[in-house]
Amino acid sequence: MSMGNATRTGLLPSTRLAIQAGVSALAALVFVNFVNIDRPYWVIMTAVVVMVGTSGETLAKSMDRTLGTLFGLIAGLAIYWVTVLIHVPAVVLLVIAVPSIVVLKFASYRLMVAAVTATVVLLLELGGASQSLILSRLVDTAIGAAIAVATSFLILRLPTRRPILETVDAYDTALAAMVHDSLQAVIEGRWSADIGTRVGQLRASAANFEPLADALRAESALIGGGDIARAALAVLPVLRGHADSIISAAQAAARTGLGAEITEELQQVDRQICANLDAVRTALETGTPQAVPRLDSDYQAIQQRLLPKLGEGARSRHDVVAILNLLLALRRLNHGLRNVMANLGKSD
Amino acid sequence: MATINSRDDKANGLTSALRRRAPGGAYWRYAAYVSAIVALAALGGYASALALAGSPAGKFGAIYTGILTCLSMLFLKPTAACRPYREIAAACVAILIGAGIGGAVGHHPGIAQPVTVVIAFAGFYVRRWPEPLPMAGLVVVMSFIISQILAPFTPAGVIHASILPLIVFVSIGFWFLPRRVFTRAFLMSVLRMRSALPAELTVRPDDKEAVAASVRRIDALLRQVNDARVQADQYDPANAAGHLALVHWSATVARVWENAADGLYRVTSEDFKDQPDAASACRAAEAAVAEAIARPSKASRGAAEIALARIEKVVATLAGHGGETGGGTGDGGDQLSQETGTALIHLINSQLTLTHLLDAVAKLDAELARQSEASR
Repeated sequence: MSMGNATRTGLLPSTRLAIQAGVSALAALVFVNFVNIDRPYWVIMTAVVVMVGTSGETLAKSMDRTLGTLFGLIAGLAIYWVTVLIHVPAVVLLVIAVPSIVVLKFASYRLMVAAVTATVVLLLELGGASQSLILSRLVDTAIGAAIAVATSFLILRLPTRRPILETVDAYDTALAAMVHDSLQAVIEGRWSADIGTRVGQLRASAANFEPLADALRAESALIGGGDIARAALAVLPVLRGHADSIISAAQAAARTGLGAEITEELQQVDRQICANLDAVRTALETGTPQAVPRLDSDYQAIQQRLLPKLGEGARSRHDVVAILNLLLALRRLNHGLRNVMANLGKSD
Repeated sequence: MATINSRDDKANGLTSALRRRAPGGAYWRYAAYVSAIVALAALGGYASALALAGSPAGKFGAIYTGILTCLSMLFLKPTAACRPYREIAAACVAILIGAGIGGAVGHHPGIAQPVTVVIAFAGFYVRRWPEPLPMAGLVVVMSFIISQILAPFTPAGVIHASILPLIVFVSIGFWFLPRRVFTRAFLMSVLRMRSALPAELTVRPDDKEAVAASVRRIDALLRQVNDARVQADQYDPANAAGHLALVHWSATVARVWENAADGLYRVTSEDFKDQPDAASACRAAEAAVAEAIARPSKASRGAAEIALARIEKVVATLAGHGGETGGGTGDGGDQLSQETGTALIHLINSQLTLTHLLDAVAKLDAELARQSEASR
């Protein structure tokens, strides 16, 4: 069933995920009934536990699980053979195995799966299991992962990214509008109380954003989560933090009346920040980092225009300081956007 | 500076990931706690299976109880409640359902297979409700499927014999869970970022590359704050709003530092050859602000404000209006040269960014104090 059909059915994400898990388990059962497998429930377990939410996340988790199992098998067998060689009771290794699973859970899902698999290998070796049984864990895991991925792509695909992206979009738009209105007020030399409501909209978006990001993280089955959720969690505090400082700096700058003399430059800054906000939104949607240019040349142009004012008396100088303060606030926002992009790049 | 750089270069891969996410050894402590509970649970499962299902069953009882206790501890998402009654009740019911049904149908594949599909569906369906139900759903799924993996090799009754030790040790594990370890780790990561500032300010980046390196170091520490916050939120959700506020102020401080570093290196002695007071006023302000951040007190804050005010006076002097406070009308002083004007802009930016830094760190400190109090 396509995503469009799924949307028309109006099923909640949790219902879709539950149906996916059920279908994945059923498909795995059908498969193991046709093929003779030593441990059929290894296939079934993988087919169920890698179900995360979106097909992309399920695919990523399936790959992590399969690769983690491969690493774990190699590590487990190597460790066991070494312990046999140096005559250390293998049971001692189990004492190390459990803390490793817990600690590696915090590093990555793949490493945690590797530790779990290494522990299973040690248990099987201690129990005298055959090497073929140990290797079959890898094959069964890969089959289960493939079934889960196919199910997540074919059955009721989950649009869990959409709500969070819509909220980011609303937030992004409110932030761009707030910057635009603030700079327009500076240009016109007249502050409007309506601009304050923009900050209210930002806070409302942020309030929606947080539970959505949490929900997305919670939907990441077992341990770990999607990169988009982590990136979104990083976006929130970085962007929201600069709204208040821009508002208060712009309010003071609007009172100076200097904005009219640097209209063109301020409009250019406005356009560039809007373009940079769009770049962040696109990066969140596509998962591909975009370029966020610095605004140095625009700031330098404004500073050059203000230079003569510095020598025109204390009041003029204070007015220049107010404009410079606004530029610093805008600069912080742009640095924040660049930082978000850097984090997105690292989460890939 | 070289030391910091070389240390960063060496930090990579797994070590880096674990070190940055486990300030104060939080993960090791948590791992030690979970391991102790799992070991006790495995012993309990062994004894219980031995007593109720006979000698061949002992090791399977230990394996089932140990693995499931470990997974239950890893799946746990504590709620904001002070005492985890609901989590414990949900986990116990989940174990009863998963292991109970698993043990009952384990030797009857014809029944177990359709039940698997129903349990997989139900285990994920409960995610629509708040915690601890999603966690319980996962425990049901895992306890059932693992029982089916073990079923062909275990005597009847082993899975059922494991239910009692499972319930006992999962309950103990949840009750004494060291949640605050993650909150303290989070606070420590914020403190680590904050403590790096005076050193960065004292060393003072003197070219674009040094500025970028300094900003990267602070950003790396900010990322650690974000990472630590995710764990703190998961294990101490009651203080999630406070964690967010702290991240918000940490991010603000990081961005203010970027502005400050970007502005300070532009104020060079070369620009103020004829006015050595200007560069020295800026250096004095940097030192005073570094001191106020390193050792916050009313006295150090006052000294920093005085040093910052001195920059303002120097600017006024250089602009040709020394000491003037009245409203200028555009008729005072000589026309500023391009070089002097640009140098003055850099000086003003430095004064502004240092003031912002002082204020942002003060707000971060206030939030840190609030959160430290709340985490006790």
